[in-house]
Amino acid sequence: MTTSDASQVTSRRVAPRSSTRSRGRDPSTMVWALRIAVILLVLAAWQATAASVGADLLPTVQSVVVDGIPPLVTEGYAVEFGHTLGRMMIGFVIACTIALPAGALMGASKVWNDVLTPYAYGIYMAPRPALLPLLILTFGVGATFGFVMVLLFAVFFPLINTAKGASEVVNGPLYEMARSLQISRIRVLLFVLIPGSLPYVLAGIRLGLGMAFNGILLAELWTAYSTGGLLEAMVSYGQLPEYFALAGLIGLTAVASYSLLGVFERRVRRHRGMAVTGSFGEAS
Amino acid sequence: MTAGGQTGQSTVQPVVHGGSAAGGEAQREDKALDCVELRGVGKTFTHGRESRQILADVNFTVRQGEFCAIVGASGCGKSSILRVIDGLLEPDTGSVRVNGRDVSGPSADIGMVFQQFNLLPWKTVQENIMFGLDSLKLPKAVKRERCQHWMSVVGLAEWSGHYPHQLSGGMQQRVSLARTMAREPSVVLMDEPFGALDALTRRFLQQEVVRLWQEGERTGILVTHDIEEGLLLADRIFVMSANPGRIAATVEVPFEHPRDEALQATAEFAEMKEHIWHLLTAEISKASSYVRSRSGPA
Amino acid sequence: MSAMGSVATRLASGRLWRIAAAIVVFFIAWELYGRTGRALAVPPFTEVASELRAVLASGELVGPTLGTAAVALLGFLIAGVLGSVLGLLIGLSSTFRQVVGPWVNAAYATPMTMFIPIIGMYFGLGMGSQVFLVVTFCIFSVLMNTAEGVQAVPTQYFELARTIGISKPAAVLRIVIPFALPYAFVGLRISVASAFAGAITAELLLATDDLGLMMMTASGNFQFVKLAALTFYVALLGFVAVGLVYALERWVAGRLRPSS
Repeated sequence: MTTSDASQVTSRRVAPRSSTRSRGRDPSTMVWALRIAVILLVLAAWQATAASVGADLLPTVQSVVVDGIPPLVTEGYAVEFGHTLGRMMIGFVIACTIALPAGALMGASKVWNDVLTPYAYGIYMAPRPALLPLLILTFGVGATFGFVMVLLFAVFFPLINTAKGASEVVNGPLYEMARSLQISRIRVLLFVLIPGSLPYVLAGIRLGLGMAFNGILLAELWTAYSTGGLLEAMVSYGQLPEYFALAGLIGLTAVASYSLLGVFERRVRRHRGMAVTGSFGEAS
Repeated sequence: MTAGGQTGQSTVQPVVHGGSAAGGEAQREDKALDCVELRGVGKTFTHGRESRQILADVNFTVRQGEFCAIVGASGCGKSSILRVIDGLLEPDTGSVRVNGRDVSGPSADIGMVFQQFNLLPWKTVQENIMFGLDSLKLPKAVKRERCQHWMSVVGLAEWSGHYPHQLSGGMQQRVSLARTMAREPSVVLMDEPFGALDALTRRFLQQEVVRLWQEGERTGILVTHDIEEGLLLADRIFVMSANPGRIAATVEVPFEHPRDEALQATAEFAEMKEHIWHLLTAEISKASSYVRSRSGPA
Repeated sequence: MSAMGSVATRLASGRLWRIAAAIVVFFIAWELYGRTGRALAVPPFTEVASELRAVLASGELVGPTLGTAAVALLGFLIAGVLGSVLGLLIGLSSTFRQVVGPWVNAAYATPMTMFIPIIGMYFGLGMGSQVFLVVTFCIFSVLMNTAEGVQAVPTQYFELARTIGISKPAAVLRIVIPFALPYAFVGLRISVASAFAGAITAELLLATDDLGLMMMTASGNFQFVKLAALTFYVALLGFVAVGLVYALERWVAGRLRPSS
């Protein structure tokens, strides 16, 4: 046929988007300058405070760099943190292995949603650190204890987000369309349910990973084990430059993994023409 | 719309059957040609303790090759009728037969075009159309050929690798149309397929649908709240009433295709439009008095 | 009224039964596992329940409960005020959002638990450090949800405000805040659980006190049934706290939008 009507071609890529204000222009040089100014301001304040309270309370910036960073390598602190990360990842993979199928089940079936909701929210609403004294009796000091804490801390977000994503797909128009096209159950799962809930699952994983960091550190602080033990010892023995360097490394790792997952998530959303929301202050 | 329209069309008076259409149609002899047949279809939705009757005793027959429109106010249950015919929704009472067989679920015989396009955003135009062919037991080569054919029919061959969000609404609906048509169903159901489009795009797509129906022997049922759209596309129009949804009247559309702007400017067209409008508003005012009487002391 | 209605509806559709069944299954499993005596820390539920009843009757829980609740509440309030004000600013000013936003995001992604040793050193082993930890646990969910709520206000509302001649501060007060309030409440509801978790964390790891002290004492004296009872009690307190904020949220939402 066919009518290559001009209206169609010219109106392409102008599909109506959300009616909210358009934010998200590329940050200007001005913004970058201000961002850097903020961090310089923080460092200056740090330096001034350090100068006035003394090195026993707060080491200077150069002291953290000069005295704190080399021991990360020479004393093997970074390697120790690597071990901690490894244990955390094992716990987190276990958490996701439970959370993703269970979440999909919750989203897809009302019955399972009713059955699993009390457990999901039970884990979430109960103050998990309160389990520390009990869990240590059950699992002892060491790696297993860490896995369990990571599991308890990290399972909620992937679970609940997967459930939400799956439920939006199952109760949404795409699912009805697939039924109308008589797509088999397996293929609906593979080509509709999983890709459809992917942005939610990714958000759940991102938030869950943040919780996993908190869980493993709490477990290790409680048992004075590995990285947690190091952090505690450094403060007790006044090795503050080392403490801040190690804390900086942990923070950087956590922020980097969180941001990477966020970038991936936004890429997936943008690839589908979905609104990119969530983290603010980033280019768009 | 051209201002000085000329009358070139026949001036057949609208034929109206009041009430359920069953009486008039029982007289027809060529039963073999009946393609879609609804008898006493009723459906009630229950939500918690509240229940609402969506459809009550819906009867109509659509002949093979016929294009019918169901016109009604929003919420009158016209979309539910399509879902019942497609097998997405099971009626509480009555029977639905398509090509002489009872409908028990979605089948390859019936295709549905949705208002919101319902394309998979993570699949390209081509992949979306192939997805529609997924459940058909055909050799891969045949599927690919059909996909190519329909992409060119709807004029999207050069967009095959694009993702839905890169296309305009009109183009997305063409993909959706191609996805349904490539399955070559004998009945095509359309649920307000042009509802989400702007007026100009809507007009282009309407013309395309008419062309498709003139090219091949297809049965179509269009749901719309736009009387003019019904008059431009359909051979017959079922006027629906709401609360509960029933077919209130059936109107034969006497115009020949192509039905263009000139026809829209004729007195006959305006008369038909007003006629259906009266049927609809009568139903709406009945429905609202029904609501008023219901909203007394509960 | 509406709560009653929704309970009745859920009861009718079998939802409530399934939820109740799931909870009952949990306690039965706990009881059965406890009876096997395989885990020291998991006494049967019935034993834990009667121990909890005894502890409650003795009155020794009243003071510690109030103490822990005070830490959680104080931290929660500070985080609520600071978080919603900062969130409002970040939501309203695009410059502020672009400059400060990335650092707030980074702070959110940083595991706050690693600061526990240094917080103890700076704020002393007392209520100050406990409250500070609670604030770090809570502030981000309030801040981020509030900012999201402010950003979600449709542009048309601002255009409307300008058309009918409402000043910017008045628009913030009468349009932005009511619009963002449900979002802020979601953040508060999320952070109330964190507040309790933060308070318990602080009492276990920072300055051992109140409920944390009771748990540590029970653990140290090998009173495992009492430890389990206290843990269960703390979990119940968490449920109650979240439930209270949820009820408050519904009440406020009901006042703002009587129709919904």
